[in-house]
Amino acid sequence: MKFYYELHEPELMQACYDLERRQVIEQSWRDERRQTSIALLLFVPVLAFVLAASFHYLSARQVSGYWSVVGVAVLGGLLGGVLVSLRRLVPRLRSRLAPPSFTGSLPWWLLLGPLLTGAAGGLASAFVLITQKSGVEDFRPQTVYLIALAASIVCSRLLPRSMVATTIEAER
Amino acid sequence: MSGAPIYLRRQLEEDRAAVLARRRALERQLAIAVLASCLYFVLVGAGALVAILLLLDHTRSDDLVRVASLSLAGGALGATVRALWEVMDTLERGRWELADGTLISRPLRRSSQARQEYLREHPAREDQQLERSDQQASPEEDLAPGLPGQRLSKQELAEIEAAEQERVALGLTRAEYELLRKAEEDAAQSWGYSIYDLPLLILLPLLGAALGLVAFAGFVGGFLVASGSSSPSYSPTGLLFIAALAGMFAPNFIAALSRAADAIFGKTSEPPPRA
Repeated sequence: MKFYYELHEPELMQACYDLERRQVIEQSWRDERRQTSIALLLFVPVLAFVLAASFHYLSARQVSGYWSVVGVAVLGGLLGGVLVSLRRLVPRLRSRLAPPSFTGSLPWWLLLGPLLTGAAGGLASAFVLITQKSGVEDFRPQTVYLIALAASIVCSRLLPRSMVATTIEAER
Repeated sequence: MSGAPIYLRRQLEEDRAAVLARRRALERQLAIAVLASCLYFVLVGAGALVAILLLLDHTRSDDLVRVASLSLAGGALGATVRALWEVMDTLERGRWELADGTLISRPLRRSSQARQEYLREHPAREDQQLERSDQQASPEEDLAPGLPGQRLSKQELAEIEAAEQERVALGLTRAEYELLRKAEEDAAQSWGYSIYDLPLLILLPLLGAALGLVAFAGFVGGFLVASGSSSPSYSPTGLLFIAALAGMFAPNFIAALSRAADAIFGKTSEPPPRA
């Protein structure tokens, strides 16, 4: 509904404007929900891949060789990235967002930011482990995986705060 | 409406029928989505349960492939139970949201039906008299009852006037308009279960399975169970229980992981918001 005929009364015009603004915010929030829902759908193949590869490595008693250690650490980091990303995406789906958090498009940075940071955290932890042991030795994949997971969770906190959705409740 | 020309009334009826048909199609879409998701959960849960039953008897703690499979299935089962519980809870509360944003509240629907039945059983009183009493009361008195001495600000008066104009434009009585405003307020404060929630629910069993694997890594890596020996022993049944709990209470488990990360690497604070 449009109120074009209230221009002669400023207060009334303001009230009409507020009504329309509320409708627009409502519609924008629904669009955000749809975009977040699509983003979550994109995580299904990612998580399935991480799960399958993690199972392959974690069911071994030991891994040896640089690439295996790096693989396990990156998988742990990616899982940490997925967890962090989900923690940031779910409030966008289930809580009322404050208008400054509206993006109007698919929140790619919420998908890729934590994932890349997680992978970087995993790589860094693999680098530290390999250099500390000074050589290709046998590693317990479970230990490497958990260290990489913890490192990725810590690293993802360094992402800008603007990546965290502000909900109406949080604003209050 | 009763005084409108016939062609206009026909047009309005056709529009109403089209809206109702579209809404019925969206309701059918939501019902199919909910049934499909329940079927998916039942299948995943049954698969995980069968895998657990097959693995549990023959699993020794040194057979890592079987133990990992057990914890994966346990996590998936826990998350599936949680997701199914969420859907059932929403069914019980009866708040749904169609793809176009329309909120359907079962209690509201029931009360609306009760209202229609009441009005059908009790014939309407003299409309003229109600209309007159409606006109006698000013909008200010109607919308701010019980505050006779209090003067409203210009802004509040303008809001009341805007609401009154909207009511007249919609052709509603004051009582109906109040109900509409209440429904709008209610809708603005809440969200309903809709097809947009399905991707998250599809993701939950996978997430539960991943957390089950993390619990397994914690057990085998010696992070969850401290042991002095070089080859720690643990109960596969205990691991299954922990994995199922991790899947079922994923947010709590992730928060615990976060605290563990703080303990290992030290606590980092989030950077301040950018200006």
